Amino acid sequence: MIVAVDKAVEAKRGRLAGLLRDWLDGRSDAASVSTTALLLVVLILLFYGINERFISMRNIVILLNQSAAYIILGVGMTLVITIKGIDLSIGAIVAVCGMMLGILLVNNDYPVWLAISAAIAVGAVCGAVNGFCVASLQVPALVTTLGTMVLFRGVAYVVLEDNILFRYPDQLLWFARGRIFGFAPAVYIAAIAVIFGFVLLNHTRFGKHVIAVGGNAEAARLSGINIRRVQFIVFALMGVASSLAAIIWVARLNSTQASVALGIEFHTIALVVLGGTSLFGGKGLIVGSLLGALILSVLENGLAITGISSFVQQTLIGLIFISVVALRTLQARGASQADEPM
Amino acid sequence: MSDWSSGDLLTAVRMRLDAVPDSTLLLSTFSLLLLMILIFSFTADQFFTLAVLRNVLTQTSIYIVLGVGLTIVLTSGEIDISIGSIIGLGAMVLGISVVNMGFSIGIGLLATLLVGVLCGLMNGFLTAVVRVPSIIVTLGALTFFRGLAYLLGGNNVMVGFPPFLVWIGSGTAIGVPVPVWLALIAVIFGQLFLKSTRTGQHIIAVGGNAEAARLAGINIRFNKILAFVIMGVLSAVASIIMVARLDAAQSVMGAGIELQVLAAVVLGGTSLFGGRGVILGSVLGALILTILQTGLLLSGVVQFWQLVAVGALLIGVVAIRIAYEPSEARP
Repeated sequence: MIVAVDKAVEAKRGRLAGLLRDWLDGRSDAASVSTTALLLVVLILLFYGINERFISMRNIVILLNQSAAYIILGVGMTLVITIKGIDLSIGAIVAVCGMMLGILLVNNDYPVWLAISAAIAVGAVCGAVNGFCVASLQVPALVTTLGTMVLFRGVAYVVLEDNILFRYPDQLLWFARGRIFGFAPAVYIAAIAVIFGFVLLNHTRFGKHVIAVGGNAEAARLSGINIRRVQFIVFALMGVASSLAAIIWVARLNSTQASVALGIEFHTIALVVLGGTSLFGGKGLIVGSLLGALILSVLENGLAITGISSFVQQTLIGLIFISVVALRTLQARGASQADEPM
Repeated sequence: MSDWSSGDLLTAVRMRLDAVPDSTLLLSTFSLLLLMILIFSFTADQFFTLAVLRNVLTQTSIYIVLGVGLTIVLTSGEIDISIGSIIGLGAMVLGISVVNMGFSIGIGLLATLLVGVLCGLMNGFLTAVVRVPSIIVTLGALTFFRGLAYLLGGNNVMVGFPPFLVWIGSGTAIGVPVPVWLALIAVIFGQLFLKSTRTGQHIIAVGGNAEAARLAGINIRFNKILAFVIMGVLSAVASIIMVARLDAAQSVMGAGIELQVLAAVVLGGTSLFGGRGVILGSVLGALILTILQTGLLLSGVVQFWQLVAVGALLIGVVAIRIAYEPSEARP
């Protein structure tokens, strides 16, 4: 009898656990995003506790302005990582686009709209070079973008040398310093990028192809998806995103030099992974990346407000990043213990 | 007897080469190196002077030491991009223990090597046991270790190391610079370890097919952690050489070197997807990178063009290799 009761209890518990697991599986994206959002809220409250000025309108405007470039890069990188790619060259692309802006606006007096179009075109071309190498030459994305990272940065150095170009026209500075309903235009560009990325990835045929290519390239190929075309477009989009980030960057700093945005690729990959996008491809969370970018900005901004030295800041950011990803990996493994090899 | 056509000869040569693993690959990398030396001997006057040769070899020895480690890590199917920061941290520990605290150089060197072991253990543990992808682990570690280095040393430059360390950096033994000897030892160790020991073979198996390796009873965790620890120790050795060459330690040391080393190893033919490590190829790759940079400098090319050349060379070589051997492209 007792055994039977035990069995019944066990069965019930098993069913409950099963139901819970089904529910979580159906919402695994929602679960990832809400963990990230929770972390963001905790950090915000923490910094608010340390310094009340953290949640002032003034600081929020600054914080969003700082995060705009990260958000745009994060959207592009989410697509790249979803197709199981990686792009280390984005910092260098930002430098080349900044160089273009500098040449056209500081060294010459071209109209701002022309300079911006040229910068976006340059970004698209750089992205297309990456896309061509990955899609047509079949060079692994890590090697391709490692090479172009050095190559593009080299181009920026060859043209700019060690000069710093500054005094940009007001129309360009407007992107970071102007205000529309209290926020910088850069913030609205970032918002549009997020909406664009979200709709593209989740509600279009192309987005389904992106997820399919990253999830199982062979299956995607067999079901008639043009893998190379998807890879090429995604890398080209990443180039365009980098050019937008460059415009915002230059507008915020009012200067360009060849070494601008050095190491930004690592920050961007970190924020995308923080947001829950899988490095193994096939799962991209645009909203997660938005939250990841905000977390990064909150950390940088909040730690700066507390007056901790930049040395401690860097150590803390590295430590937080490793712990969050480790926790998330453990969590994911708990959910799918059975199907994992090794 | 004169039936032998050139085609037969070619086949014979190829069969002979196929008998030695990696030989075609090494031969093609070596040809590239020779070609480069040939070109620079025309364009740069002082290219063949003893001073330049010595400088190139000493400079390369740092890349070679790191290249051996990264080859082993890549062979195990993982990657380590935190090595530049391990170098920075190692340099700080060496500087603080020897210059600031006045410990003997032996203790300083041991402490530096210990830092390498610990950094490698941390990377290995998170990768193999917690199973976070190694590119993410070492991406975080890149920031974390560098942050620790800054915490320890700030922006100070530590100078005034004992003569023994200076000897490691700029002294010679039997007419050959000490760093070159260290690189040679690292290469012999790496080659013997990977090709001729049971553990080395296990690392290759783990990188080639982890599931098959596990079923064959190989301890995946141990082998991956070991690969990271070797990488950590070799990073510490590189850090010692760097500090010794400059006779100064600074927290920013080694920043960005991971990408140079990765480029050298990939040029040498080691697969990014694990299971294939070519230690001698990494040596050639490191030589190619340094000779390209030194050669362009001596040929009077503006310094910044070197970056463009390195990037183009890396993509070009890998693209050609993949065109001839499509299996390289996919894991």
